[in-house]
Amino acid sequence: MTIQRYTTRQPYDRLLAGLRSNFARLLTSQQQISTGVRVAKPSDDPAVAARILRGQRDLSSIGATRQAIDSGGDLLDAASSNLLDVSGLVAEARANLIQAMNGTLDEGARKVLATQFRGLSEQLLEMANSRVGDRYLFAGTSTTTTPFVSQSGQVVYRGDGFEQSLDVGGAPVPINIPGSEIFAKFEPQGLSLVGDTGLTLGATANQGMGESQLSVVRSGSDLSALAAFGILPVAGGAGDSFVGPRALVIDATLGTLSLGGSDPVPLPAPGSPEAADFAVYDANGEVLHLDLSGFTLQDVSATVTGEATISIGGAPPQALDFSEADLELVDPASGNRLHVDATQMVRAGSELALFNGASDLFAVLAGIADDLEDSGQWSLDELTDRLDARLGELTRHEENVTRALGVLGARSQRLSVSGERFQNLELRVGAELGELRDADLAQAISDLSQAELAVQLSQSAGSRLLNLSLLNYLR
Amino acid sequence: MSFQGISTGLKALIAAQSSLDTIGNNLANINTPGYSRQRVELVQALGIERNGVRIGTGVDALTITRAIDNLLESRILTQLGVRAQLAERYAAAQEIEFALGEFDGTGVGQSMDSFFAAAKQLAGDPADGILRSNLVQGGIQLGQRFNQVYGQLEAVGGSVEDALRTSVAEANALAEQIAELNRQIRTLEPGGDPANQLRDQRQVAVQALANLAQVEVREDPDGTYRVYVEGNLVVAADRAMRLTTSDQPEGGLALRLEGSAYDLTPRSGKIAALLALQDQDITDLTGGLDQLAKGLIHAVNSAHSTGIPSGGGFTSLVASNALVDLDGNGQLEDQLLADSGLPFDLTAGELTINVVDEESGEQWSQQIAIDPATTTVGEFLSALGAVPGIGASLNAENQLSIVAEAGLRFDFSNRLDPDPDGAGTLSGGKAKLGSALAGPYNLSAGGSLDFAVPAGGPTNLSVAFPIGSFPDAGEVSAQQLADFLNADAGFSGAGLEAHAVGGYLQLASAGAGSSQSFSLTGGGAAAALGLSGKVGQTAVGSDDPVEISISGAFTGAVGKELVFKVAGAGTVGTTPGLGLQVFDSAGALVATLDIGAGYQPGTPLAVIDGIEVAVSLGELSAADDGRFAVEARADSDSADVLVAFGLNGFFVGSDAQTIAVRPDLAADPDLIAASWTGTSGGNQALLALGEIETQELALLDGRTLGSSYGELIGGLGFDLATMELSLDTADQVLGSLQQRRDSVSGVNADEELVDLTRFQQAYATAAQYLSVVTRLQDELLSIL
Repeated sequence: MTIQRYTTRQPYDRLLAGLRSNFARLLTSQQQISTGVRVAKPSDDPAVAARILRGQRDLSSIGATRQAIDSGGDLLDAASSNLLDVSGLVAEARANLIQAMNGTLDEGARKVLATQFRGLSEQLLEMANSRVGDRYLFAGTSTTTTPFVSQSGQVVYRGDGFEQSLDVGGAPVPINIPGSEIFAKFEPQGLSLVGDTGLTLGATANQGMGESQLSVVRSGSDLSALAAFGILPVAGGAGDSFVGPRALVIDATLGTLSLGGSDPVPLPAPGSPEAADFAVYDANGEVLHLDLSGFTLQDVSATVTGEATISIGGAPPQALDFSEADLELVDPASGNRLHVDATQMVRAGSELALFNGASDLFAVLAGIADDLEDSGQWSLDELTDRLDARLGELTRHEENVTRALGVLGARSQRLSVSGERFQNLELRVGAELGELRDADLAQAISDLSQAELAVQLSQSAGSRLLNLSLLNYLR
Repeated sequence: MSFQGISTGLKALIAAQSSLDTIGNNLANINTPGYSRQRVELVQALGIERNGVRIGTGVDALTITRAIDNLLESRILTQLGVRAQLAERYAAAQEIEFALGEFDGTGVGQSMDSFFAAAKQLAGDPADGILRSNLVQGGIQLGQRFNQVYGQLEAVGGSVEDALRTSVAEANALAEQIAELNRQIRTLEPGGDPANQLRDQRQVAVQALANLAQVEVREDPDGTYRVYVEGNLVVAADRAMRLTTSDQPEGGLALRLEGSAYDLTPRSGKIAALLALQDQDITDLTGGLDQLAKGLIHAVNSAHSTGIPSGGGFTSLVASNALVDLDGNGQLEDQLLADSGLPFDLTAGELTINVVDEESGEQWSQQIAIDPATTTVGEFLSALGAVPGIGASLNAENQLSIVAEAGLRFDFSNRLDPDPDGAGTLSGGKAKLGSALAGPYNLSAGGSLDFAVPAGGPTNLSVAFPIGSFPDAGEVSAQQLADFLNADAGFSGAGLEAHAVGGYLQLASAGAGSSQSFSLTGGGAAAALGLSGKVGQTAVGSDDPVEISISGAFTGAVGKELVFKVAGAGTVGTTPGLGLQVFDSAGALVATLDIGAGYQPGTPLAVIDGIEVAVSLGELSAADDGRFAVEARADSDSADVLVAFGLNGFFVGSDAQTIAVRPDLAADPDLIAASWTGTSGGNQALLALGEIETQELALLDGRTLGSSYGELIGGLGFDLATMELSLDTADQVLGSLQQRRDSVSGVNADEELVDLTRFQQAYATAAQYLSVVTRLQDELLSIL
């Protein structure tokens, strides 16, 4: 740049301008070094500013997701550890049950086992209601309500069946399993009747949960059809045990008697003491006592009926109609609706109506304990059958718990994989952000030295010029 | 001869003296700003003729001139304006950038981050009181940050107005000053010499004015300046026009000449910068911030308003946005929803409201269809009030208020109705008949339906459909038909009811049980209504009805209406082949569910998209064409009514100035509506809230919150950096122009000192000559 004239002001102006600009550079470098940041505000590097802003949003979002993954993982771990204990208890229950089915135990020992089962049930109830902080683990999304509540002898599930999910940037991961899926999984497979009364399932479907107790009680023998032949009941039929209609066939010629298709037995001699109380057995081995003292010695082909009543749960007994193939019984306590076929009745007794796949764990354990406590009322075979029916349910529950553990484990794995992925992502985004924002200290220090040098040079050069004046030479 | 010598000598002395005085003036003013060095113009004096010879008569000091380049001066004026404008805008932009607070951790961006992080955390454990409180606090901070930044921008805007007024006053003072200087110059100059000092002073004033606005000067022959500001004559001779500010209709000020009706458009200078700040820079930013806040409020409230707090639904709700009487007639209810002054737009869609009886657990839902272009406020209020158990009204502040009757709670979630067949058109023990055809039905031929009801009679009745019964007889919807039948005294008096299910007409007895029966005996309209196959058929109630229950949560992306129909006949769980067919609203078969042999009654069966249905033990038959419908909604507020009114929102307000957390929610974080299923740990609404962070929002022109904010900030950063560069360049250009001016008009001390010596010698020489001449004269006198 050429100047035509040089004025006195110019060196001063130049010096000041130079100092101003070099000091500005110096201050910028100093700030970069002392804060470690190159882009302190968006105008410092606008092209990069937008990327920095996006990076900050991403970083925060990743951080939040990581935290969520961590707390979700904690929940899954807590649930897993609880379920592991539950699994142990259920296995213990199953082992106890198998032991209980062992024929060598006496009533006293069974009573002791009954108490053990009740104890196990209580422990399991506690585990089912386990909490982390204020949050129930197995209540679905109703995490502030106690999931399993004991109510008039039954355990009721008060939670819900919803899953709570975490968004980890892909498919959501559920971080809970509702208690209903573990302790009360409802996968109905139909009703089964355990007992030897001869009751079978009716045609119509059954609806209900848990168990119902059916009781067939003998109310008498109807020998009215035999009155014409002079055959009378003994003691009003008190000693009889058969239930249902039976065909009574007497062949006077052969002198045999057959009840309900059994092998013919020879009649007692008329007038003999036996004739007054002749015990005859049907094909099932059930007995009918006949007073043949007045027998007219004719051929007989008639039907005798062992009458009975049937009751379910605490309901009043109703007379059993043996032509009913589809009798509906409603359990008053639970509302279970059963349909039974009464056409093939054998004897009086109890039937356990078990809804397979529809009993919760606590109901199963309670049923086992009830049976064991009062085991005297059944024969060993009956008891074993009843306990065996519960074994199926218990095994199902054990499998459910194991499956739930597997599911929790898989989810925990997914979360931990996601957690690692997000951790790496966080590091990467953080590093990118740092590269964009942070000062390159080496560069900044070098800039600082250069600016410092420039300041010093302009000061020195300027001051030399300032002293030049003609006045120095004029006297 | 010698007298001439004295005159010559004297003139020489005077010339040297004037030059020395001028040099002294230059040296004294070496640092005076705006000073242009002066020179005495020396010319030879005219010679006189004497004895046939022309002899010079010495030197004349003609005039004292300023060394000045007028072209350079005018270029400097232009550049001053450019630079002042850039400097002003740059300073204000820096202040704004500081107010926005990026990246020092106090920006809106960081507050948004904290808010969404809190939402994600709460989604992991919605019942946790501390996390709820965190979310509310995060929302409060975010709202406050928006308010603060907006406030600071407004403050900058406010200071712009003040600065404008001050600058205009300054400009007026300067114009007055120039006019006064003009007058003085005009008075003095005709006398001879240019008024150098006054001209220098006037130039300083003109330059000061050039800093404020675009200035051009023209010199008139009488030495006065005409000053044009932004192309308009402001100073002419000794008169100055005044500039003033005028209030703009949309707020802010504009520049104009006093007494003029037109605003000026300033192109350079500080005033131009201030106006650009006010009209553009600040409005762009506050506009961008408002858009961001509005988009945020809309998205967050959309996710939150359809949620249910953990304590259950609401017993009463008051909207946070008030209606405005836009047509000024004192009435609010006659206005269309689109023209009611609500801050957010509504779209055509439906609002679902669910009501729950707390004691009995009974639940019912209703959909309210809304079209903002045709539905009035009054119609919306009555539709709300028509929902059983709900009352809706406008309160004293013109806000919508919804109240539930005692013992009831309401909510707006998309949860499924667990008992969709409350009317008993498929389940339950009523006697039922259904149409084989879906509406709309063509009743333009009129006709009637004839029934026979054995109970209490037998009663024979006929319901006629005369022309004019329906607005469009060719297209009668099932609902219109059902309403018409139910309103008929004979029909309802006979114990019959009509329902519309999934667009089909369903007829039923009012009571249940096998004692209930009715039959369709005929009627001209039977064929048009798809009932011709039912003529002569008797519908009998059932003593063994089924119960239907729906469970699960709808996971589809788009809402559906599913219609369930029986296939086959028999007992649930017993008869083989008994099934339920499920149709979508287009009539296509979506699922067939086996409820015959092998189905355990009461077991939930998966239908589609997370919906499950369970059927209890009982008798069903396809012959009666019974149906029920399940409404599954993905978005229970597809009309955005809740957001527009501000019902159950998280934020209140509609822009950066008014955004805040809803006051009752801020006081009680348990009111956070986290769940869509009504359970205490449900987190669906919170998950939806968390997703907003990365969603492209329509109110932000399809951008995400983060990129919208990034563009706002980044744009400002770019503008600032550009301004900085431009300012640097302008500074340099101005500097170089001023240097050149200095070269022309500045004082060089060495030059002056040399000249000082020169003229000192000239003075000494002239004095010497004079003394010689006077001695000569003395000698001449001594001769006499």
